[in-house]
Formats: sequence, C-alpha cells, structure tokens
Amino acid sequence: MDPERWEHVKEIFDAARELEPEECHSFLAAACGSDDSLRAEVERLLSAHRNAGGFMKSAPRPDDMTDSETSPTTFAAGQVISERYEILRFIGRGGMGEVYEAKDVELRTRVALKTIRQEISANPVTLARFRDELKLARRITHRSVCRTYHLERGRPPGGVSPDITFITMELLEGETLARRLNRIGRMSAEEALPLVRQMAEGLAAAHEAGVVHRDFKPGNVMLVSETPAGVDSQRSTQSVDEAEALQGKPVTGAAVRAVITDFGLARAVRRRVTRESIQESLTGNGRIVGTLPYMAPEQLEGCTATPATDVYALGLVIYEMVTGRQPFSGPTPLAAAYKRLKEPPPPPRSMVPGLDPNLESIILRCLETKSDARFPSATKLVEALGGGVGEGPVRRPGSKLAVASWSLVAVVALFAILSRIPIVRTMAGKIVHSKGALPATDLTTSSPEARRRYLLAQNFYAKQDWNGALNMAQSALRFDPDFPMLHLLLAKTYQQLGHSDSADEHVRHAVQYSGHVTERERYLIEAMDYRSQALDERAAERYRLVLSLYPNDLDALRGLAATDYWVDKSDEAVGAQRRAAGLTHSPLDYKMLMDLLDRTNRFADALAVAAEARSSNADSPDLHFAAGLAYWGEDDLGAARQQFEILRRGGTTYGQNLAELYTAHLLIYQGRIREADAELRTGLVLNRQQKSEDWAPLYPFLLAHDLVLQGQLAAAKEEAAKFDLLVTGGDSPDPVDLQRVGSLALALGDLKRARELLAILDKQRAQESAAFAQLHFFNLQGNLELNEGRIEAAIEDEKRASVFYPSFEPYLSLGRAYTAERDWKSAIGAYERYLQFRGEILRDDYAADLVLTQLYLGRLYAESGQPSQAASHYDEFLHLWAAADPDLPVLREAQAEKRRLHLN
Amino acid sequence: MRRERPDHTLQATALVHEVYLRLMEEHPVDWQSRAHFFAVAAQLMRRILVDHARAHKAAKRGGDAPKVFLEENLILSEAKSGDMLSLDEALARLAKLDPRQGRIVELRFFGGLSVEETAEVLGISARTVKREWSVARAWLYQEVRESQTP
Repeated sequence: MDPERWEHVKEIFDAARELEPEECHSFLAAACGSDDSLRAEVERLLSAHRNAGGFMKSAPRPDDMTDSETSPTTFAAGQVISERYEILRFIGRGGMGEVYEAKDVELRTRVALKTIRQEISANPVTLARFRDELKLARRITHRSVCRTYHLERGRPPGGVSPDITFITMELLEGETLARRLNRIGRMSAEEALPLVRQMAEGLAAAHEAGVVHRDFKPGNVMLVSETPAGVDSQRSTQSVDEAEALQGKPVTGAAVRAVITDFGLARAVRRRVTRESIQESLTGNGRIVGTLPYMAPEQLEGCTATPATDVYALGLVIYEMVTGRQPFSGPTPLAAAYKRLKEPPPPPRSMVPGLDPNLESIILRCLETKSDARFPSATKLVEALGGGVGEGPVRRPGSKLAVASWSLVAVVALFAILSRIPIVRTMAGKIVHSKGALPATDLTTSSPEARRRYLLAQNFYAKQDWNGALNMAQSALRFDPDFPMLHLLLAKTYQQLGHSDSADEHVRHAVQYSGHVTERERYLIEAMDYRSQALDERAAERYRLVLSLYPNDLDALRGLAATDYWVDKSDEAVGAQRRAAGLTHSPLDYKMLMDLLDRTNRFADALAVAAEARSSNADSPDLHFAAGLAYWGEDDLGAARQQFEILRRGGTTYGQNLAELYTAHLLIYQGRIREADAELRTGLVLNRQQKSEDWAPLYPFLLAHDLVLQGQLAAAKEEAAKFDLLVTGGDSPDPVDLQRVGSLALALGDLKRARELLAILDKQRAQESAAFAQLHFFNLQGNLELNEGRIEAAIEDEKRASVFYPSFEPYLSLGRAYTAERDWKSAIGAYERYLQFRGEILRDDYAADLVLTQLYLGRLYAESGQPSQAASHYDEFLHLWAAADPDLPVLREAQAEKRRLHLN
Repeated sequence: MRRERPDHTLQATALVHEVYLRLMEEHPVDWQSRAHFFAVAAQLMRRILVDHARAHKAAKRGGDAPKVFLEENLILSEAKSGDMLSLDEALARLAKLDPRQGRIVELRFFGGLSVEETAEVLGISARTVKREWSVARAWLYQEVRESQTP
C-alpha cells in the first residue's frame, strides 16, 4: 500500500466507523465503487476495530524489569583495595555501580566505597568531568549533605580485572527516604517537618556554594539514626538508588538525620553514558541515575537547571511525604511528567485536611510550574520554613515590614472572624508604595495564598502570558472565590483571550463582592463595569479618580489609555500608556502603547516603541503582532508578514490563531483571496481549539466578503448565514457585529433580515444608550435607506452615526451615498476621511475595502474631470493588487476602465 | 511480592531511569523543546520495552510460549514478549506508511499520553489524533493477530 492509498483507506474507515451495519454496507459500496481491494482493506480494519477490545487501551507496564538475579560482585569481603580500603561487606547495587562498606586502614575509619561502572569511567573525558563535579560537591559542608572524600582507581591485589574507579564517602547508616515512604506510606507533618528542614538546609548549603543537585529525590536522601555509628554494623546501609534491596532498621522522626547523597553525580553522568552501558543495564545490573518522576518542568523543556529546579524536586518530595502520594499521576511516568507541565497539583489539604495551611502554601509554591514563581533557592525555602510552620502563620523572611504585615493579617483575620466580615487587607502593597516605585495595591481578600497567586497571575498578565495568568488566577480562586480584584483580573484576561461573555461574568462577580473594598478597588471595579457596558467616558472618569490618589497606578493608567482612546482623546491615552510602559518596561505595556499608536496611524512611532521594547528585553507574541500591524500600516507587507510568522512560530495556540487570522487579512489586502481563504480555513480549525467566542464570527465574516468579491453570491450567502447565526445566537451580540450582519444581508439582497437586525440594534441602543450601539444603528439604518434610494435620509443618518462615535463605517457609507447623488466632491471627501482610519481598518475590518477605496477615488476623480488624480488612484489600486487573483471581477473592471479612460 | 502502593512501583521508576539515561545519551547536548523531549522519551520507552521483550524471548529459547494479546495492563511476562515484538514490527511498517501515525501511537501507547496531550505535543488537533489513533489501533490489532496465526 502506498501512503496515498492509506490516506484514502483512513478516510473511508473514519466515515464508516460510527455507522450502523446496514448504513455502513451501502456507504462502503458507494465510497469504494468497483475497487474491491480497497473495500476489503476497509472492512478488514472495521472488523479489527470492532474486535480489538482492550487492545492497546492502556500503556504497557514493564513488570519484570528488576534484576532479581544476583550477579557476582566486583570485590569480596576481606580484600584490600589500593592498599588502603578493606572491604567489609557488599551493601548494594545502584545506577552508578556497587556500594560497599569498607575500612580506611590509613585513617582507621569506616567509609562507603562506591564503584563507578566501567563504561562510565573508561572514557578519560568523562572521568575528568566526574572529578570536576566531585570537586564542586566537596565544597558543600553540611551535616545534611553526604561528604565525599576521594576519587580513586584500584583493584584487589592479585586480581586480573582492570582497574576499578571508585569514590569513597561518608558511611551513612539507615534507610533511604524512598524506602521509608514505600514502607510506611505517609508521615505526619510533625514527623516530616524536621526532615524537610534538614533537606532544605542541605540543599541551601549547596545552593550557597553554587551547586545544584539536579537529581534530588527520595532515593537520594538517607535517614540516619542518631545513635553512634558502629554500634551495629549489620544495620548499616548506604544510598544506592532507591536502595530497595536493602534491609534497614526503621528510624523515627526526632532522632533522625536526613542526608542528601549523590550531589553532582547526575550531571557528571549526564554526558557520559554509552550505548554499551544501556545494553548492560537492560540485561543485567539494575538501575541508573536520572529520574523522570522528579524532573522539574524546565528540565523537561530542555532549560538549564537552577536552584529553583531543586526546590521543585523538594516540593514533590515534601508533598509525597505528607500526603503519601505523588501530586501528579498518569499511566506512565512520562504522562505524569506531562501533567506537571500543564496542571497545578491538587492542594495537599484536599487529601490531608488537617495539614497546616502554611505548609501547604509552601509546598505549592515549590511546585509552581514557572521556576520564577517558586522560592528562588532552598535558602529562601529554609527561611519560609523558619520555625513558624506548624505553629503559626508563615513568616516572610528578610523584611521586618513584611513580618509586621503578616501579624496584621492575623489580627485583621481575627477581627474578621469576630465581626463576621470575611475580609483581610494585606499591606504588602503599602510597603511597595512607600518605596515610591509603584502605587499602593491594597487587596481585599480572605486568603494570603489567594493574594500571592493573584500577584503572580498579574505578573503573567504583564508578560502577556494569558493562559498562565488564567491558570494562576483560577487556582487563586480556589482559595478565595469572593476576591473582587481577582475577578477583575480574570475579566481582563478573558477579554484578552477573546471570551467576552466570561469576562462580563467576572466583572459582575467583582461588582457583587465589592461591598467592603478599598476606595481604589471600588473605582477600578466601577470603571471596568462601565467599560463592559461601553460607557467609556464614565470609566475614564473613575480611572482619573484613582490616578488623583495614586498617580502611578498601573491598572488606572492602562484603563485610562484604553478608554480615553475610545472617547477620542488619543493623545491623553498615549500619554497615560507611555507612563505605564516607562514604569514597567513590560511587554504588555509596550504592546498597549503600540496598539494605540497603530490605531491612530502613528506606525513609525509604533515601530520605534517596538525597538525600545526590544532594547529592554521585552518580548511577547503580541509585540510581534503590533509590530506586524505597524509595518503593514507603512505598507511594508514583507516585514509585516515576517512579524506574523514569528508570532505563528511562537508556539502558543493564541499566537498561531492570531497569525493565521492576520496573515489572511494581509492577503485580503493584496487581493490574494484564494490564499487568504486557505489561511482562514486552517485558522478556523485553530480557533475551535482556542474556543474563542469573540473571534469565531470573524471567519465567516471575512469569507463572505471574499466570496462577494469573487462574485460567488450563493456561497457568500451560506457564509453570511453562518456569520448571522454565530452573532445573533450569542448571549449579548456586539453592536458592530449586528451591523455587519445587517449590512451583509443587505448587500446580498436580504432586505428583511437587514431590517430585523436594525430592530435588534434599536433595542440595544435603547437599553444601553451607548454611543457605540448608536453608531452602528444609524450606520445600518443609513445603509438601508441608501439601498431604498432614499439618499438624503441616508446621508443624514450616516452623519449622525459619525457624530455619536468617531469610526470609519459611516464614511464608507457616505462615500457611496454621495456617489449615488453624483456629488463627486463630497464623495471624495468622505472616502478620504475613511482612509484616515487606516490603522483601525487594518486591525478590525475587511482590509480590501481600503484598497478598493483607491479605485472608488479613481472613478470619482475621473468623473469630476481630474484625470491626473484619477490616474494616480487607479495606479495605486493596481499597484496594491499587483499580486491579486487575476480573475477577480472588480480587478478586471478596473483594468478595463483604466484602458478606456486612457489614463496612462 | 505484593506492593503496598501500586502507584509507587520501583519497576516503573526503573524504566524511566533508563529512558532518562538514553535521552542523555542520544541527545548529549539538550533537547530543544517540550515537544522534542516527549517525542524522544516515548520513542525510547518503546525501544526499551521491545529490547526487554527481545531479551526475554531469547532467554526463553525462541519464545514458543503461548501468545496472548496485549490487553489492559499489558505486563511483559514471557507469554507476552512475542506480542510486544510483533507489535513493534507492525508499528515500524505503519510508521513507514504514515510517519505521523507512528508518532501518535508512540506517544499515546508507549508514552501513555492522552489524546489531548498527544495533540498538543504534535501541534495537531485532538480530533485528528483521535481519528488517526483509532485507525492505527485497528490496523495494528489486525497485524499482530495475523502474525500469530501460523
């Protein structure tokens, strides 16, 4: 079978799979025609499909991969290696090699002797690296870190085997944490905490010495009884990976020393394992280091390990200690690892309700997917654990002010309980404010954890990581579902992701819970509420109130920039947004600034901001989007397309979606309609993945216009019907979409539907009295009147529309109306005005209209006897559409007209 | 030996150690992305399981033990080693015909990823993964069964 035929088989199989036997029979007859072998192949597959039962339904689990057979050991008891180490007994076998208990004859002390597999030690480069790592690890001096002594080579006297490389290290007696957990399930917090502190301190000592463990896991932690060594050597055991083959005496919490082993070994072994070693590990000698179940997200993504990587692994270990299970599970360790990238862990308290919330908070912070949201190093974790956990509120280390704020939380919380007002006001924002950098951010919430997550979500938001912001904000919601500012943030995030309905819902929640908030919070919530009702002027007023209290309040600056633009004070908007960008240098603020500049045709300024953003290392998909629009505005289409490509390759569905959509826009602008449609159809699939309600209507809207342009009216009607359904089927359709549905219906000859849409708009503007709804109502009404030949009325209404709200739609209609009235001069004026909205139209409307306007102007100048202007507009049109589909009717007309008019 | 906590099996851990190690070996520098990592890891899980099956079969003198299908919770016991090997061979044929389908099977079956996760790793829609997986499973079932009917 060749791939093409296989595709064909798959298609038929897929279509037939769900059919009833009889339907299936006739379907196959039709689909396969006389191709009997095709039919036989599909039927064979269908029968296999029905009989396959549980075949491959779950991932295979290797059940016999332990190496129970005992292979001979390298050394035997009594042998003396390198004339110094007398082997006392074999302890076990690990990934690196074997472990023995030995007596250092020279120093008269007992040590652990760990052999290094031949395949690892044979390579001199590898060995040198190993030595470096050990040297580094030796810098760590801490009672919770296993001491390593020497790297040596030797063999038993008289032995025939080649030299064996081995490490000597501190001999530890006890069992590994892995074995302990395997044996007892889980620990109480009282048992766990002393061990957790020691492990954190051990890692902290390493981090302070500049060493990252990279492979921290329960198998690399020894629990050593504090009874003096040497009392009972039979109990003695040493860390070998997992050490499950060993018998260890149970040790109890209080007198237990936790010791981390194998520092640096993960990294040392990393680049030095050969295929032979794998073959050997498969056929013989057990396991090897490297631990998928404890790898941090950044390790899975190929990023460098940092101290925060160890913090993550420690978080997993603590989680496991106190709950008895790993936070992420899946059919395979790989699937579990995937979950670590995607999901927050279930809160430990959902399994162990009695757990100290502060400990939970610490664990969850260790387990943040983004490494910069965790404790930056174990040192910080130690500080967080600092005595307080299990006894009271978490103490925020390093700042007396912060500590004060936490006690305040406690006091206020107590007060809240007494007075039954569920409010805590945290004060950290005030502290920031007192430094003068940023405005106060008092937050009303009952949960410090929710507050912390809110702030993290805001960071994601500022980095334009909408999904990151959304996940974090939603996880915060679990800690305080009534957190007003959190709902506001969710609203803004949903807005960015194109889910207006969800956004509105969160604004409603924010309003609902805003009974006890601060003044600032109240203004911000009210402003957002006004914005959701399209009452931008009132919203702007609220933002100005906030700014009068806190001149550098980012929420207010950004809000004002957004609303002021809409109420046509774009200079003030740009000013506010520039200030915000100057304060944060964040991609978000740069992007918002570029948006404003793009929309007001200041494309060169926007590109200058893009350069500024680059120089402050701000980068995000949306910055490329904004830069793409700016290049487009400057008619540098190649550069624009390039920016959209960067956006597409950025890896986010959102970016891909946006890139598809705007590449299509760009192609439409060039008259390359067929390519645009192909782009739109892929985009449509992506959009379904993204599930963006706001963007979904754009596809049939653009496709319908494309089809009109191509003269395929029947197909255009189909797309128009889809567009109609998506718009009017939604809960609260946007006025602009209603107007578009109506105008499109009108263009396709469905007067009745256009009138119905007008009626809906009429109701909407009555309810909200919003300028935006008025604009679109009068615009559509004017279009209807023009269609009926009532030109004067149409002109009146379009003028009214443009007064309500400065936008481009009325001018396009006015151009058509004046043309119908044969008032060439006014028509030219209207179209020129339309072109002044270039930045808006590129972003939000059918871009071909911009180019077609050049043609309209050409015609108007020709009619009004100004051939040179006419020629230049015809040329501009034909130039912009030089690469257009050659068979577009309007393009052919334009070429013919130009010839007829002898405009060369 | 009965394990007290089945979600904590050392055996499974052993497997991924090997996977991790092989990753290190085959990509000594670093993998470049998440997608890369998961694709390679799933591929390695397959190879390790198959190698084990092969070793097992060799140990059992030609593997003429009765053959059992790969059902839920397939365990690589001696009886099933043969299954794993014929599955691997069939999958190799399938991947030749349709490389993307081969990757989908590796991620779904050997990697244990869900339809959605597989879709995300490969950058295709969940619908496509579901469709491809369903055909692939039927085809592989057929092939494995045929290889076992003398």
